[in-house]
Amino acid sequence: MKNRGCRTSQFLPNKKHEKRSKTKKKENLGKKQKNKGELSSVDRNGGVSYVDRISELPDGILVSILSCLLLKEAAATSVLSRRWRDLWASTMNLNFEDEKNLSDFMEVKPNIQHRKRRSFVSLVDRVLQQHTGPLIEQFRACFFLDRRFARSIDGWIEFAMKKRVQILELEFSAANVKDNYTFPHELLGLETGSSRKDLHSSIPSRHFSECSMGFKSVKVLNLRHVDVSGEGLEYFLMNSPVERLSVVAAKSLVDLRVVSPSSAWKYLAIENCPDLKTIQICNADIISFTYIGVAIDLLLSNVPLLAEVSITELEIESNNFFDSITISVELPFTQLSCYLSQLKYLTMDISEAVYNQDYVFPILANLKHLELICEPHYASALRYLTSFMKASPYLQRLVLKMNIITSWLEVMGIGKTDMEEIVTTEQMETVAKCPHHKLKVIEIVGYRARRFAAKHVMLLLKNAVALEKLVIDPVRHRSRGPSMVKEDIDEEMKARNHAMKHLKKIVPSTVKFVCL
Amino acid sequence: MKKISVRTSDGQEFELEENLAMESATIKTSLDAFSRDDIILLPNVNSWEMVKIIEFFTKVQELETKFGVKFMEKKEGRFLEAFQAEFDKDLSDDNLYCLLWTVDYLGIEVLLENLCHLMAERTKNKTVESCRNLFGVQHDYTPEEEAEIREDYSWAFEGPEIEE
Repeated sequence: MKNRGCRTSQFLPNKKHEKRSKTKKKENLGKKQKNKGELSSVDRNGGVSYVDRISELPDGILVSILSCLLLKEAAATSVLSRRWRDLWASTMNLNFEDEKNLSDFMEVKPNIQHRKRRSFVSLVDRVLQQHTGPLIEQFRACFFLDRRFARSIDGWIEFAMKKRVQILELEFSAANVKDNYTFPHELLGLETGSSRKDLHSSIPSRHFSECSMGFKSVKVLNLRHVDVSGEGLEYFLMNSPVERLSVVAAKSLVDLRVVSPSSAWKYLAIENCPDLKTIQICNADIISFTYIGVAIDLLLSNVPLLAEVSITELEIESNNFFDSITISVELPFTQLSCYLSQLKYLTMDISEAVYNQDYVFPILANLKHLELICEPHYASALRYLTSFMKASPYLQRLVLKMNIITSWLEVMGIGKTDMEEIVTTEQMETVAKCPHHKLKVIEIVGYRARRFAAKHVMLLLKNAVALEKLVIDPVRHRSRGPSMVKEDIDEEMKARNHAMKHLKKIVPSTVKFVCL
Repeated sequence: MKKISVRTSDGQEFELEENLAMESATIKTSLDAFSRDDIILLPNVNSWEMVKIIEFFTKVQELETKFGVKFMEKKEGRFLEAFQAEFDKDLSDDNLYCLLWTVDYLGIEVLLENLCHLMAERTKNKTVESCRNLFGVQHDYTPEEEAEIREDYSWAFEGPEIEE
């Protein structure tokens, strides 16, 4: 059996399990009657009709159970009995996320915000002191923290490393990326003689070897609003068996060049790193790649297993008056040209994209699942949609996600003209000419009540002749991490009603219609 | 595929496919030590438990085909949900304890983890008293001891915010 810290059972065949005689009390039998105890389990000894109760289970299993609970619930079991007093302290999962505080954090005044931050940090510090188990699987801290709490956070990371953490997630948030907490690079195993002044941390050097050993256990690393350099990440990818790496909003990430990394590495996600210029990946077994941010130099070579890509590259043109932001579909297609035919999953944000009629879409021969994030105004997405569908003949599932940020024009009441929303007969004809024979499921997420929504959906239905299911989901899902957007429940209700009223009747009987 | 025969405590015999039998560390050790043609005796395993275990393996294979993922090799959220939905309704609390024992004895990691999740679900949102009843735990603290614990771990008993 895998040797996990607290597991005590090492059973050989034919050996009876050791019962904890301390807790085997006669009173338990009395308690058993209180339950609707249909003694449905026949005992194994063939004699006494006695049922093993949960406290008879070995420590290891109880700890596994406690590890599935929320931290507070797990710690509350300490009052059950003496046996349970310290069990929770061996929990394998330390997940610090204060749901209630997260949702109303942005509503309160700055001084209260800071008080909440300090509370959160104190809580984590306290719990870590009380944790006694030798190993942990997950450490996650999710709150609006920045470099002001560096000393504590350094301590948390040191703690996690010492306990051979496998999943390390630091999901912070800062108003400005330059206030980000900086990851202590020494822990990654980099020489302390690094010339970068901003990589200073408060961890004394004698702890380094112990901590960098701990890094060899990390399988998943998620950093949000935590500064880390390309150099640090490269070292990490080369020298540890990490499987999934995600970096969001790191200011010091400028270049990431990974050549022949550890073969365990399968998943990379980089988002919103404002100064990033280059990503180069060479000779890697990576399966999934996500990049969202400004247009970069993307160099991929020898990545034969790449099957899932989510990519959105923004091109910013500065004018005299304003920054115009457009999303280019052509750029990623060019950068990924060698791998387009092997992709099975593709996600792109086309909401600010400018449609180029003359661009010839490459064929996505293996694409099974396509997700497009588009503007609430369907019409602009439709032009892209037809091109994408033509380019992916084997597509089975299409998901359209309506962009979460309502354009300021909408808010001001200046919607796009009705003209733009109208589906032209020309478009209908083009679509009718090349129907899609494989598309089985269409999902529209973030659906909103619009005048021409029904017509647009009809267009989709006309195109997808093999469609089996249409799902309408009015809820716009949030991204991970401390979020600052409140969902609009009213809009969702209106959308639901609109869908049931207008869409249901145009959906043919061969298609299952689901409105969530 | 080779079949392995096992006999449970009440004399019933079951045939398991070899690759499934090998998921049990205990059975695997037996097989390594003895010939594969012998019947493996499992005096600590009851037949109803064996039935449940086989049910689990069958379900895993179904879900693997449906989702196209090798669930045995990694923890998957979707599998967990599907598993809980299927297994939760027929198992009484007592049965769950017994099954946990047995699966731990047999050393079937994947199933053990899922059963722990099931048990954890049953304890969520319960008061301390009802937890005691559920688990059959004997309260053995003096009032002073209990007060001390509640003080030490006050963060677990209070609301979300701790004023420092």
